[in-house]
Amino acid sequence: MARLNGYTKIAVLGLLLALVALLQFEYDATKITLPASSAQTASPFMVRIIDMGFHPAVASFLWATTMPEILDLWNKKTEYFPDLAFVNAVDPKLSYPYAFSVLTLPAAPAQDDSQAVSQADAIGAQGLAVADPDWRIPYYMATNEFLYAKDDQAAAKYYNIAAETPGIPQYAERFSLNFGIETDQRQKTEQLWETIKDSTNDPDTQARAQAYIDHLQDFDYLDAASKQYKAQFGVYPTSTAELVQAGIIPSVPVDPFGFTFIIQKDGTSAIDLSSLPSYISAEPAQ
Amino acid sequence: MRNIFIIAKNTLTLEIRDKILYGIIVFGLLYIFFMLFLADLVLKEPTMIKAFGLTGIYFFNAIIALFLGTTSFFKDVDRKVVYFILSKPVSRMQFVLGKFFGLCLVLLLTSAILGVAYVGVVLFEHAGFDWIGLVAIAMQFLEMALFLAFAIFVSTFSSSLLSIVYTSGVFFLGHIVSQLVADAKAINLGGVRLLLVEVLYYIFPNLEKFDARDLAIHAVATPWISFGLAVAYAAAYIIFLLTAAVWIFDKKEI
Repeated sequence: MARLNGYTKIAVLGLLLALVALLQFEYDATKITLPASSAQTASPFMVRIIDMGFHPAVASFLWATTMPEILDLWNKKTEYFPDLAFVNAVDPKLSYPYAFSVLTLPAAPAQDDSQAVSQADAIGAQGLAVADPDWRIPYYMATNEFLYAKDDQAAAKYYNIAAETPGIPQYAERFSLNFGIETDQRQKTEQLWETIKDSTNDPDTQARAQAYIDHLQDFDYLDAASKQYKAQFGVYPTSTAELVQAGIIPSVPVDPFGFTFIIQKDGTSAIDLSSLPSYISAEPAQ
Repeated sequence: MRNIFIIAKNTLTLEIRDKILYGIIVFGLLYIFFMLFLADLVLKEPTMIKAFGLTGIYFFNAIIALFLGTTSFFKDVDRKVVYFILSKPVSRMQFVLGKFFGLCLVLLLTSAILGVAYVGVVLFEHAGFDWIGLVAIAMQFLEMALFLAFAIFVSTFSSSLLSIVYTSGVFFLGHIVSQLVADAKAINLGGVRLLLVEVLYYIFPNLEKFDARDLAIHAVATPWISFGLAVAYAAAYIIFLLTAAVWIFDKKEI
Protein backbone atom coordinates (compact mmCIF):
# COMPACT_ATOMS: atom_id res chain seq x y z
CA MET A 1 0.00 0.00 0.00
CA ALA A 2 1.45 3.33 -1.11
CA ARG A 3 2.47 5.74 1.66
CA LEU A 4 0.22 8.79 1.83
CA ASN A 5 1.37 12.28 2.75
CA GLY A 6 -0.25 14.38 5.49
CA TYR A 7 -2.65 16.32 3.24
CA THR A 8 -3.85 13.17 1.51
CA LYS A 9 -4.49 11.54 4.89
CA ILE A 10 -6.55 14.55 6.01
CA ALA A 11 -8.46 14.45 2.72
CA VAL A 12 -9.15 10.72 3.11
CA LEU A 13 -10.35 11.25 6.68
CA GLY A 14 -12.56 14.14 5.50
CA LEU A 15 -14.05 11.93 2.79
CA LEU A 16 -14.69 9.12 5.24
CA LEU A 17 -16.38 11.58 7.62
CA ALA A 18 -18.51 12.90 4.74
CA LEU A 19 -19.44 9.31 3.93
CA VAL A 20 -20.51 8.78 7.55
CA ALA A 21 -22.64 11.95 7.44
CA LEU A 22 -24.17 10.84 4.13
CA LEU A 23 -25.01 7.40 5.52
CA GLN A 24 -26.62 9.04 8.56
CA PHE A 25 -28.67 11.24 6.24
CA GLU A 26 -29.75 8.23 4.19
CA TYR A 27 -30.54 6.25 7.32
CA ASP A 28 -32.75 9.07 8.64
CA ALA A 29 -34.61 9.15 5.33
CA THR A 30 -35.39 5.44 5.47
CA LYS A 31 -35.89 5.12 9.22
CA ILE A 32 -39.18 3.65 10.34
CA THR A 33 -40.84 5.98 12.82
CA LEU A 34 -41.89 4.09 15.90
CA PRO A 35 -44.50 5.53 18.26
CA ALA A 36 -42.79 7.95 20.62
CA SER A 37 -42.65 6.79 24.20
CA SER A 38 -44.44 8.97 26.65
CA ALA A 39 -43.23 9.93 30.08
CA GLN A 40 -46.56 8.60 31.29
CA THR A 41 -45.45 5.01 30.66
CA ALA A 42 -43.30 5.24 33.78
CA SER A 43 -44.52 6.35 37.16
CA PRO A 44 -42.95 9.30 38.99
CA PHE A 45 -42.60 7.00 41.96
CA MET A 46 -40.36 4.61 39.99
CA VAL A 47 -38.38 7.50 38.53
CA ARG A 48 -37.73 8.84 42.03
CA ILE A 49 -36.42 5.43 43.10
CA ILE A 50 -34.04 4.88 40.20
CA ASP A 51 -32.80 8.45 39.78
CA MET A 52 -30.63 7.99 42.89
CA GLY A 53 -31.58 11.30 44.45
CA PHE A 54 -31.13 13.40 41.31
CA HIS A 55 -34.76 14.53 41.37
CA PRO A 56 -34.05 18.17 40.38
CA ALA A 57 -31.87 17.20 37.42
CA VAL A 58 -34.25 14.51 36.18
CA ALA A 59 -37.25 16.82 36.61
CA SER A 60 -35.34 19.57 34.77
CA PHE A 61 -34.56 17.25 31.85
CA LEU A 62 -38.22 16.17 31.75
CA TRP A 63 -39.29 19.81 31.94
CA ALA A 64 -37.11 20.68 28.95
CA THR A 65 -39.18 18.22 26.90
CA THR A 66 -42.52 19.15 28.49
CA MET A 67 -42.26 22.93 28.10
CA PRO A 68 -42.59 23.02 24.27
CA GLU A 69 -45.75 20.89 24.55
CA ILE A 70 -47.62 23.99 25.67
CA LEU A 71 -47.65 25.02 22.00
CA ASP A 72 -49.62 21.86 21.22
CA LEU A 73 -52.55 23.30 23.18
CA TRP A 74 -53.23 25.40 20.08
CA ASN A 75 -53.66 22.13 18.16
CA LYS A 76 -56.06 20.78 20.80
CA LYS A 77 -53.43 18.36 22.16
CA THR A 78 -53.32 18.36 25.92
CA GLU A 79 -50.26 16.20 26.76
CA TYR A 80 -48.84 19.24 28.50
CA PHE A 81 -50.99 18.76 31.59
CA PRO A 82 -50.18 15.11 32.45
CA ASP A 83 -46.51 15.69 31.62
CA LEU A 84 -46.42 18.77 33.84
CA ALA A 85 -47.99 16.72 36.63
CA PHE A 86 -45.27 14.11 36.07
CA VAL A 87 -42.50 16.72 36.35
CA ASN A 88 -44.12 18.11 39.50
CA ALA A 89 -44.35 14.62 41.00
CA VAL A 90 -40.66 13.87 40.31
CA ASP A 91 -39.57 17.09 41.98
CA PRO A 92 -42.45 18.99 43.59
CA LYS A 93 -40.11 21.71 44.83
CA LEU A 94 -38.97 22.77 41.37
CA SER A 95 -40.81 26.08 41.12
CA TYR A 96 -40.27 27.12 37.52
CA PRO A 97 -42.75 24.72 35.88
CA TYR A 98 -45.52 26.15 38.09
CA ALA A 99 -44.51 29.76 37.36
CA PHE A 100 -44.20 29.13 33.62
CA SER A 101 -47.62 27.46 33.50
CA VAL A 102 -49.33 30.25 35.47
CA LEU A 103 -47.80 32.83 33.13
CA THR A 104 -48.45 31.05 29.85
CA LEU A 105 -51.70 29.11 30.22
CA PRO A 106 -54.07 32.10 30.06
CA ALA A 107 -52.66 32.86 26.60
CA ALA A 108 -53.37 29.30 25.43
CA PRO A 109 -56.73 28.50 23.88
CA ALA A 110 -59.38 27.42 26.35
CA GLN A 111 -63.14 27.48 26.44
CA ASP A 112 -63.06 30.89 28.00
CA ASP A 113 -60.76 33.18 29.95
CA SER A 114 -62.12 32.11 33.32
CA GLN A 115 -61.37 28.45 32.55
CA ALA A 116 -57.81 29.31 31.52
CA VAL A 117 -57.33 31.41 34.64
CA SER A 118 -58.77 28.73 36.91
CA GLN A 119 -56.45 26.12 35.35
CA ALA A 120 -53.49 28.41 35.88
CA ASP A 121 -54.75 29.21 39.38
CA ALA A 122 -54.92 25.53 40.38
CA ILE A 123 -51.34 24.94 39.19
CA GLY A 124 -50.19 28.14 40.91
CA ALA A 125 -51.88 27.21 44.18
CA GLN A 126 -50.12 23.83 44.10
CA GLY A 127 -46.82 25.60 43.47
CA LEU A 128 -47.42 28.02 46.34
CA ALA A 129 -48.10 25.08 48.65
CA VAL A 130 -45.16 22.79 47.82
CA ALA A 131 -42.53 24.49 45.65
CA ASP A 132 -39.54 26.58 46.66
CA PRO A 133 -40.57 30.14 47.52
CA ASP A 134 -40.70 31.79 44.10
CA TRP A 135 -42.17 35.28 43.77
CA ARG A 136 -43.10 34.65 40.14
CA ILE A 137 -45.86 32.17 41.02
CA PRO A 138 -48.04 34.59 43.06
CA TYR A 139 -47.02 37.51 40.84
CA TYR A 140 -48.26 35.81 37.67
CA MET A 141 -51.37 34.57 39.50
CA ALA A 142 -52.11 38.17 40.49
CA THR A 143 -51.51 39.30 36.92
CA ASN A 144 -54.01 36.74 35.62
CA GLU A 145 -56.59 37.85 38.16
CA PHE A 146 -56.11 41.49 37.16
CA LEU A 147 -55.86 41.12 33.38
CA TYR A 148 -58.15 38.18 32.63
CA ALA A 149 -60.44 37.49 35.60
CA LYS A 150 -60.80 41.26 36.35
CA ASP A 151 -60.72 40.43 40.04
CA ASP A 152 -58.71 43.25 41.61
CA GLN A 153 -59.23 41.91 45.13
CA ALA A 154 -57.70 38.51 44.32
CA ALA A 155 -54.96 40.27 42.36
CA ALA A 156 -54.12 42.43 45.39
CA LYS A 157 -53.96 39.30 47.57
CA TYR A 158 -51.44 37.56 45.29
CA TYR A 159 -49.40 40.73 44.71
CA ASN A 160 -49.10 40.96 48.48
CA ILE A 161 -47.82 37.36 48.67
CA ALA A 162 -45.37 38.10 45.85
CA ALA A 163 -44.10 41.24 47.58
CA GLU A 164 -43.39 39.23 50.72
CA THR A 165 -41.58 36.40 48.92
CA PRO A 166 -37.79 36.52 49.33
CA GLY A 167 -35.82 37.24 46.18
CA ILE A 168 -38.46 39.39 44.45
CA PRO A 169 -36.69 41.96 42.23
CA GLN A 170 -37.11 45.61 43.11
CA TYR A 171 -39.17 46.47 40.01
CA ALA A 172 -41.73 43.74 40.75
CA GLU A 173 -41.81 44.49 44.47
CA ARG A 174 -42.42 48.19 43.78
CA PHE A 175 -45.30 47.33 41.47
CA SER A 176 -46.77 44.77 43.86
CA LEU A 177 -46.68 47.12 46.83
CA ASN A 178 -48.26 49.94 44.81
CA PHE A 179 -50.96 47.86 43.19
CA GLY A 180 -54.30 49.63 43.49
CA ILE A 181 -52.79 53.09 43.98
CA GLU A 182 -52.67 53.98 40.27
CA THR A 183 -55.88 55.49 39.00
CA ASP A 184 -55.03 55.24 35.32
CA GLN A 185 -55.88 51.68 34.25
CA ARG A 186 -53.85 51.92 31.03
CA GLN A 187 -50.73 53.08 32.85
CA LYS A 188 -51.12 50.30 35.41
CA THR A 189 -51.53 47.66 32.71
CA GLU A 190 -48.54 48.99 30.79
CA GLN A 191 -46.37 48.85 33.90
CA LEU A 192 -47.57 45.32 34.53
CA TRP A 193 -46.52 44.13 31.08
CA GLU A 194 -43.15 45.82 31.59
CA THR A 195 -42.59 43.79 34.76
CA ILE A 196 -43.69 40.57 33.04
CA LYS A 197 -41.25 41.23 30.20
CA ASP A 198 -38.41 41.78 32.68
CA SER A 199 -39.27 38.72 34.74
CA THR A 200 -39.06 36.01 32.07
CA ASN A 201 -36.47 34.59 29.68
CA ASP A 202 -39.13 33.08 27.46
CA PRO A 203 -38.78 34.97 24.14
CA ASP A 204 -42.42 34.32 23.16
CA THR A 205 -43.72 35.80 26.40
CA GLN A 206 -41.30 38.72 26.10
CA ALA A 207 -42.50 39.40 22.56
CA ARG A 208 -46.13 39.19 23.68
CA ALA A 209 -45.48 41.58 26.57
CA GLN A 210 -43.65 44.01 24.26
CA ALA A 211 -46.56 43.88 21.80
CA TYR A 212 -48.99 44.82 24.59
CA ILE A 213 -46.70 47.65 25.71
CA ASP A 214 -46.44 49.00 22.15
CA HIS A 215 -50.19 48.63 21.74
CA LEU A 216 -50.88 50.65 24.91
CA GLN A 217 -48.22 53.25 24.09
CA ASP A 218 -49.81 53.79 20.68
CA PHE A 219 -52.98 54.97 22.47
CA ASP A 220 -50.95 57.35 24.63
CA TYR A 221 -49.17 58.64 21.55
CA LEU A 222 -52.40 59.26 19.62
CA ASP A 223 -54.14 60.82 22.65
CA ALA A 224 -51.29 63.29 23.07
CA ALA A 225 -51.31 64.08 19.34
CA SER A 226 -55.08 64.59 19.43
CA LYS A 227 -54.74 67.09 22.31
CA GLN A 228 -52.05 68.96 20.39
CA TYR A 229 -54.37 69.10 17.36
CA LYS A 230 -57.15 70.57 19.52
CA ALA A 231 -54.71 73.17 20.88
CA GLN A 232 -53.76 74.19 17.35
CA PHE A 233 -57.11 74.00 15.55
CA GLY A 234 -59.65 74.31 18.35
CA VAL A 235 -61.37 71.01 17.55
CA TYR A 236 -60.44 67.36 17.88
CA PRO A 237 -59.42 65.52 14.72
CA THR A 238 -61.97 63.16 13.21
CA SER A 239 -59.42 60.60 12.06
CA THR A 240 -55.79 59.62 12.57
CA ALA A 241 -55.08 60.70 8.99
CA GLU A 242 -55.80 64.31 9.98
CA LEU A 243 -53.05 64.13 12.58
CA VAL A 244 -50.60 63.18 9.83
CA GLN A 245 -51.94 65.84 7.43
CA ALA A 246 -51.54 68.49 10.13
CA GLY A 247 -47.91 67.41 10.55
CA ILE A 248 -48.40 66.50 14.23
CA ILE A 249 -47.32 62.89 13.73
CA PRO A 250 -45.17 61.61 10.82
CA SER A 251 -47.35 58.52 10.29
CA VAL A 252 -50.12 56.52 11.94
CA PRO A 253 -48.55 53.88 14.22
CA VAL A 254 -48.89 50.28 13.09
CA ASP A 255 -50.58 48.27 15.82
CA PRO A 256 -48.70 45.05 16.73
CA PHE A 257 -52.00 43.17 16.85
CA GLY A 258 -53.15 44.51 13.49
CA PHE A 259 -55.97 46.75 14.75
CA THR A 260 -56.84 50.08 13.12
CA PHE A 261 -56.83 53.15 15.34
CA ILE A 262 -59.59 55.75 15.28
CA ILE A 263 -60.11 59.05 17.06
CA GLN A 264 -63.35 59.31 19.01
CA LYS A 265 -65.49 62.40 19.41
CA ASP A 266 -63.96 63.22 22.77
CA GLY A 267 -60.51 63.21 21.17
CA THR A 268 -59.35 59.92 22.68
CA SER A 269 -58.00 57.14 20.54
CA ALA A 270 -59.68 53.73 20.25
CA ILE A 271 -59.84 50.58 18.15
CA ASP A 272 -61.93 50.42 15.01
CA LEU A 273 -64.21 47.50 15.81
CA SER A 274 -65.66 47.48 12.29
CA SER A 275 -62.32 46.42 10.77
CA LEU A 276 -60.86 43.73 13.00
CA PRO A 277 -57.66 41.94 11.97
CA SER A 278 -58.15 38.86 9.79
CA TYR A 279 -57.05 36.41 12.49
CA ILE A 280 -59.86 37.65 14.76
CA SER A 281 -62.58 37.87 12.15
CA ALA A 282 -61.64 34.46 10.71
CA GLU A 283 -61.59 32.74 14.10
CA PRO A 284 -64.25 34.19 16.36
CA ALA A 285 -63.67 33.65 20.06
CA GLN A 286 -65.34 30.49 21.35
CA MET B 1 3.51 8.94 58.11
CA ARG B 2 6.28 9.90 55.70
CA ASN B 3 5.83 6.60 53.83
CA ILE B 4 2.09 7.22 53.47
CA PHE B 5 2.81 10.69 52.09
CA ILE B 6 5.37 9.36 49.58
CA ILE B 7 3.04 6.59 48.35
CA ALA B 8 0.15 9.10 48.11
CA LYS B 9 2.33 11.50 46.12
CA ASN B 10 3.53 8.74 43.80
CA THR B 11 -0.06 7.52 43.30
CA LEU B 12 -1.13 11.05 42.38
CA THR B 13 1.80 11.44 39.95
CA LEU B 14 1.13 8.07 38.38
CA GLU B 15 -2.64 8.49 38.01
CA ILE B 16 -2.62 11.98 36.57
CA ARG B 17 -0.49 10.63 33.72
CA ASP B 18 -3.27 8.22 32.78
CA LYS B 19 -4.81 9.11 29.44
CA ILE B 20 -8.14 7.50 30.40
CA LEU B 21 -8.42 9.95 33.29
CA TYR B 22 -7.77 12.84 30.89
CA GLY B 23 -10.48 11.48 28.62
CA ILE B 24 -13.03 11.41 31.46
CA ILE B 25 -12.06 14.92 32.58
CA VAL B 26 -12.34 16.24 29.03
CA PHE B 27 -15.81 14.71 28.71
CA GLY B 28 -16.72 16.16 32.11
CA LEU B 29 -15.63 19.61 30.97
CA LEU B 30 -17.48 19.21 27.69
CA TYR B 31 -20.63 18.35 29.63
CA ILE B 32 -20.22 21.39 31.88
CA PHE B 33 -19.91 23.62 28.79
CA PHE B 34 -22.84 21.76 27.23
CA MET B 35 -24.78 23.28 30.14
CA LEU B 36 -24.75 26.53 28.14
CA PHE B 37 -26.96 24.79 25.59
CA LEU B 38 -29.07 23.06 28.25
CA ALA B 39 -29.55 26.48 29.88
CA ASP B 40 -31.19 27.72 26.67
CA LEU B 41 -33.50 24.71 26.68
CA VAL B 42 -34.84 25.65 30.12
CA LEU B 43 -34.90 29.39 29.39
CA LYS B 44 -31.85 30.01 31.59
CA GLU B 45 -33.66 29.04 34.78
CA PRO B 46 -30.89 29.17 37.44
CA THR B 47 -32.18 26.25 39.55
CA MET B 48 -32.22 23.97 36.52
CA ILE B 49 -28.78 25.08 35.29
CA LYS B 50 -27.37 24.25 38.73
CA ALA B 51 -29.20 20.90 38.80
CA PHE B 52 -27.68 19.90 35.45
CA GLY B 53 -24.20 21.07 36.46
CA LEU B 54 -24.02 19.43 39.90
CA THR B 55 -25.40 16.17 38.52
CA GLY B 56 -22.78 16.16 35.75
CA ILE B 57 -19.93 16.79 38.19
CA TYR B 58 -21.24 14.01 40.41
CA PHE B 59 -21.45 11.46 37.63
CA PHE B 60 -18.05 12.22 36.13
CA ASN B 61 -16.42 12.11 39.55
CA ALA B 62 -18.22 8.82 40.25
CA ILE B 63 -16.83 7.39 37.00
CA ILE B 64 -13.34 8.61 37.94
CA ALA B 65 -13.65 7.17 41.47
CA LEU B 66 -14.89 3.84 40.10
CA PHE B 67 -12.12 3.74 37.51
CA LEU B 68 -9.34 4.69 39.95
CA GLY B 69 -10.58 2.71 42.92
CA THR B 70 -11.01 -0.53 41.06
CA THR B 71 -7.90 -0.39 38.85
CA SER B 72 -5.16 1.44 40.73
CA PHE B 73 -4.71 -1.00 43.60
CA PHE B 74 -5.17 -4.00 41.34
CA LYS B 75 -2.62 -2.66 38.82
CA ASP B 76 0.04 -2.36 41.54
CA VAL B 77 -0.50 -5.97 42.54
CA ASP B 78 -0.77 -7.21 38.94
CA ARG B 79 2.34 -5.36 37.74
CA LYS B 80 4.17 -6.49 40.86
CA VAL B 81 4.93 -2.90 41.88
CA VAL B 82 3.70 -3.90 45.30
CA TYR B 83 6.67 -6.35 45.69
CA PHE B 84 9.11 -3.53 45.18
CA ILE B 85 7.32 -1.22 47.61
CA LEU B 86 6.81 -3.82 50.34
CA SER B 87 10.43 -4.92 50.13
CA LYS B 88 11.27 -1.48 51.55
CA PRO B 89 10.52 -0.60 55.17
CA VAL B 90 6.87 0.05 54.29
CA SER B 91 4.04 -1.74 56.04
CA ARG B 92 0.96 -3.00 54.19
CA MET B 93 -1.15 -0.56 56.17
CA GLN B 94 1.00 2.34 54.96
CA PHE B 95 0.66 1.08 51.39
CA VAL B 96 -3.15 0.88 51.59
CA LEU B 97 -3.45 4.28 53.25
CA GLY B 98 -0.98 5.82 50.81
CA LYS B 99 -2.98 4.50 47.87
CA PHE B 100 -6.23 5.80 49.38
CA PHE B 101 -4.93 9.31 50.06
CA GLY B 102 -3.22 9.45 46.67
CA LEU B 103 -6.45 8.56 44.89
CA CYS B 104 -8.32 11.09 47.05
CA LEU B 105 -5.86 13.75 45.87
CA VAL B 106 -6.61 12.85 42.24
CA LEU B 107 -10.34 13.16 42.96
CA LEU B 108 -9.77 16.46 44.73
CA LEU B 109 -7.98 17.71 41.65
CA THR B 110 -10.70 16.60 39.24
CA SER B 111 -13.42 17.99 41.55
CA ALA B 112 -11.57 21.31 41.59
CA ILE B 113 -11.24 21.40 37.78
CA LEU B 114 -14.90 20.53 37.18
CA GLY B 115 -15.98 22.80 40.08
CA VAL B 116 -14.19 25.82 38.60
CA ALA B 117 -15.76 25.14 35.19
CA TYR B 118 -19.18 24.82 36.87
CA VAL B 119 -18.86 28.07 38.82
CA GLY B 120 -17.68 29.80 35.62
CA VAL B 121 -20.67 28.58 33.60
CA VAL B 122 -23.14 29.49 36.37
CA LEU B 123 -21.59 32.96 36.59
CA PHE B 124 -21.73 33.29 32.80
CA GLU B 125 -25.45 32.48 32.92
CA HIS B 126 -25.94 35.32 35.45
CA ALA B 127 -26.98 32.91 38.21
CA GLY B 128 -24.51 34.42 40.69
CA PHE B 129 -21.54 32.92 42.49
CA ASP B 130 -22.75 29.54 43.67
CA TRP B 131 -21.17 29.19 47.11
CA ILE B 132 -23.68 26.55 48.15
CA GLY B 133 -22.93 24.66 44.96
CA LEU B 134 -19.31 24.47 46.11
CA VAL B 135 -20.50 23.01 49.43
CA ALA B 136 -22.47 20.42 47.43
CA ILE B 137 -19.34 19.58 45.40
CA ALA B 138 -17.36 19.23 48.65
CA MET B 139 -19.98 16.82 50.00
CA GLN B 140 -19.86 14.91 46.73
CA PHE B 141 -16.09 14.62 47.17
CA LEU B 142 -16.67 13.12 50.61
CA GLU B 143 -19.03 10.57 49.10
CA MET B 144 -16.45 9.73 46.44
CA ALA B 145 -13.80 9.23 49.13
CA LEU B 146 -16.08 6.67 50.76
CA PHE B 147 -16.64 5.14 47.37
CA LEU B 148 -12.85 4.90 46.83
CA ALA B 149 -12.37 3.27 50.22
CA PHE B 150 -15.00 0.68 49.31
CA ALA B 151 -13.34 0.03 45.94
CA ILE B 152 -9.93 -0.44 47.61
CA PHE B 153 -11.48 -2.73 50.20
CA VAL B 154 -13.05 -4.90 47.48
CA SER B 155 -9.83 -4.83 45.43
CA THR B 156 -7.93 -6.52 48.27
CA PHE B 157 -9.82 -9.79 47.78
CA SER B 158 -11.39 -9.58 44.35
CA SER B 159 -10.46 -9.15 40.69
CA SER B 160 -10.66 -5.78 38.98
CA LEU B 161 -13.80 -6.70 37.05
CA LEU B 162 -15.64 -7.97 40.11
CA SER B 163 -14.56 -4.87 42.04
CA ILE B 164 -16.31 -2.76 39.40
CA VAL B 165 -19.48 -4.86 39.78
CA TYR B 166 -19.47 -4.74 43.61
CA THR B 167 -18.63 -1.05 43.80
CA SER B 168 -21.28 -0.12 41.22
CA GLY B 169 -23.81 -2.16 43.19
CA VAL B 170 -22.98 -0.33 46.39
CA PHE B 171 -23.17 2.98 44.54
CA PHE B 172 -26.69 2.17 43.36
CA LEU B 173 -27.88 0.60 46.62
CA GLY B 174 -26.34 3.41 48.67
CA HIS B 175 -28.67 5.83 46.96
CA ILE B 176 -31.89 3.86 47.07
CA VAL B 177 -31.59 2.23 50.48
CA SER B 178 -33.39 5.10 52.26
CA GLN B 179 -36.20 4.91 49.74
CA LEU B 180 -36.39 1.12 50.20
CA VAL B 181 -36.98 1.48 53.94
CA ALA B 182 -39.61 4.16 53.36
CA ASP B 183 -41.36 1.97 50.78
CA ALA B 184 -41.18 -1.11 53.01
CA LYS B 185 -42.94 0.83 55.76
CA ALA B 186 -45.42 2.32 53.29
CA ILE B 187 -46.57 -1.14 52.19
CA ASN B 188 -46.68 -2.30 55.83
CA LEU B 189 -43.86 -4.79 55.45
CA GLY B 190 -43.29 -6.33 58.85
CA GLY B 191 -41.46 -9.01 60.77
CA VAL B 192 -38.20 -10.45 59.54
CA ARG B 193 -38.49 -8.89 56.11
CA LEU B 194 -38.67 -5.37 57.49
CA LEU B 195 -35.84 -6.22 59.85
CA LEU B 196 -33.70 -7.35 56.90
CA VAL B 197 -34.38 -4.13 55.03
CA GLU B 198 -33.51 -2.11 58.14
CA VAL B 199 -30.29 -4.07 58.68
CA LEU B 200 -29.42 -3.32 55.06
CA TYR B 201 -30.18 0.33 55.70
CA TYR B 202 -27.84 0.61 58.67
CA ILE B 203 -25.03 -1.59 57.34
CA PHE B 204 -24.76 -0.51 53.71
CA PRO B 205 -23.10 2.83 52.94
CA ASN B 206 -25.97 5.29 52.97
CA LEU B 207 -24.92 7.84 50.39
CA GLU B 208 -28.03 10.03 50.51
CA LYS B 209 -26.68 12.05 53.40
CA PHE B 210 -23.92 13.46 51.16
CA ASP B 211 -26.50 14.90 48.81
CA ALA B 212 -26.25 18.64 49.42
CA ARG B 213 -27.46 19.31 45.91
CA ASP B 214 -30.99 19.93 47.22
CA LEU B 215 -29.54 22.66 49.38
CA ALA B 216 -27.87 24.27 46.37
CA ILE B 217 -30.81 23.85 44.02
CA HIS B 218 -33.80 24.27 46.34
CA ALA B 219 -34.14 26.57 49.28
CA VAL B 220 -33.90 23.69 51.75
CA ALA B 221 -32.69 24.71 55.18
CA THR B 222 -30.22 22.04 56.28
CA PRO B 223 -28.85 22.26 59.82
CA TRP B 224 -25.05 22.35 60.03
CA ILE B 225 -25.21 19.40 62.44
CA SER B 226 -26.36 17.28 59.47
CA PHE B 227 -23.18 18.18 57.60
CA GLY B 228 -21.13 17.40 60.70
CA LEU B 229 -22.80 14.01 61.08
CA ALA B 230 -22.30 13.24 57.39
CA VAL B 231 -18.57 14.03 57.69
CA ALA B 232 -18.33 11.86 60.81
CA TYR B 233 -20.25 9.05 59.07
CA ALA B 234 -17.89 9.18 56.07
CA ALA B 235 -14.82 9.20 58.34
CA ALA B 236 -16.10 6.26 60.39
CA TYR B 237 -17.06 4.21 57.34
CA ILE B 238 -13.76 4.96 55.57
CA ILE B 239 -11.80 3.93 58.68
CA PHE B 240 -13.86 0.74 58.87
CA LEU B 241 -13.31 -0.13 55.19
CA LEU B 242 -9.61 0.69 55.20
CA THR B 243 -9.04 -1.27 58.43
CA ALA B 244 -10.77 -4.28 56.88
CA ALA B 245 -8.78 -3.76 53.67
CA VAL B 246 -5.49 -3.68 55.61
CA TRP B 247 -6.36 -6.84 57.53
CA ILE B 248 -7.35 -8.72 54.39
CA PHE B 249 -4.29 -7.44 52.56
CA ASP B 250 -2.10 -8.51 55.51
CA LYS B 251 -3.32 -12.09 55.12
CA LYS B 252 -2.89 -12.08 51.36
CA GLU B 253 0.09 -13.98 50.03
CA ILE B 254 1.91 -11.95 47.47
